[in-house]
Amino acid sequence: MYKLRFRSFRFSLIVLAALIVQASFPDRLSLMGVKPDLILLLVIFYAVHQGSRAGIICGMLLGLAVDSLSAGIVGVNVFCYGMVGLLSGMFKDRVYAGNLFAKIILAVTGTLLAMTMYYLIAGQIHRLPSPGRAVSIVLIAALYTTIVNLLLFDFIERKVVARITTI
Amino acid sequence: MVKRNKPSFAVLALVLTAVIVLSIPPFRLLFLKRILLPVFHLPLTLVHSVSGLKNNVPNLFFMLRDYNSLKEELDRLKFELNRTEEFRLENERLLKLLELNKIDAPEFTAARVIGKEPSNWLGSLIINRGRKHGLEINQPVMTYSGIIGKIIEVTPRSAKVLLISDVNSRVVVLVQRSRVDGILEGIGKGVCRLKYLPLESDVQLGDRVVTAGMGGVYPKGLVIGTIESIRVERGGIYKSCIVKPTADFKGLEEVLCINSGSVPSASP
Repeated sequence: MYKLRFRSFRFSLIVLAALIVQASFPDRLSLMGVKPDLILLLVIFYAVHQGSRAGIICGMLLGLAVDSLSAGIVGVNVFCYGMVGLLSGMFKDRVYAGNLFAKIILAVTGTLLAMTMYYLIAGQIHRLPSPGRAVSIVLIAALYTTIVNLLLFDFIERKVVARITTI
Repeated sequence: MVKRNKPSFAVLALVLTAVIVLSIPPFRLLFLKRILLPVFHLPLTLVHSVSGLKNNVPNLFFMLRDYNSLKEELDRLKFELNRTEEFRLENERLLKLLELNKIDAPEFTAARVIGKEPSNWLGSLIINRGRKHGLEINQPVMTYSGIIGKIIEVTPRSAKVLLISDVNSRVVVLVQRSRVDGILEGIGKGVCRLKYLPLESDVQLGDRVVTAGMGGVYPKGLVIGTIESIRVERGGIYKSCIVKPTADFKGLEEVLCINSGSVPSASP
């Protein structure tokens, strides 16, 4: 028998590193002018391990961090990432390291949901790229973020989640 | 007993966030950015310094080799500068004779780029100079190649720059050769669109586009980019051009902020 222990400090360091990478080297990460959303992946990761409530809180905090670094208005990413945290948290204990299909579905739907909500909400407040360009951005970002998720999910899980054997 | 994971309070906070975002004017929430942006200032500056060091150390050998040729170039440029100074003084005297306003060379505050837009929707930069260094909102920002944008947020030690290629950017510009004016707006792919040009306007591929000096933000005559393509808009009333900025947004490391007090007037 074993139980899982989530190492929050290590996860915080990974979050900080992801925020810095996302804000410092976005051009090096970009594929066809689109960047993967590393922060969103961490929200999904946290939510599937800690549940909906923790997922919402993590999503809202990281959304606030992204909003503060971005030129957009404060609050839109807080809501979008929070929603992704809520929905991803519903898959708690159903996604494990070997489940490839679940990781793909979570990353694709999470990115599509977060970016579509951002476009619909922020588009009411300030200008965003045209709908045609937006669709291509969302699709490329979803695909790219999913590939990054497949590469990083297991690595982060090994670093952050410890299995403690119990008698 | 099974412990249920109730997200009720968190969901309430989420709904509240949506209500706040949609009901409060965005400028009222700017204080949150002013609090949070300085938190990221130190790690972003550190990462930028380390990555800069990593890039520069292997180049030391080439830097030494270039040093001598640059010294010669400097001597030549000093000579050119003296000649230019003569022309400037002559120009000043002639302007006085014509009773036109003197157009000063703007003063700059140099800044390093320490962060870039993390999202896929907008185009912005974070620089390591802020209110303490005299920067203000709406100050134009450029590189030696041309204008890159204007400051939209300022904290004591950092500022955020909206790039001219962002969809929220608008600049009144002139085609340098034919003096045709129009509105340049960002379209979000690192390029801009020059709109509302009359059909008979004289524009050609490769024409340089410069700021018109209207609107009180950008000084007149600063280079923005060159015309890459021209097309007639749907309806056949106006022409529009795709303008490629001369400044390379991807490789930006240092920028110059034009000090507000030194922005020359557009009117003669």
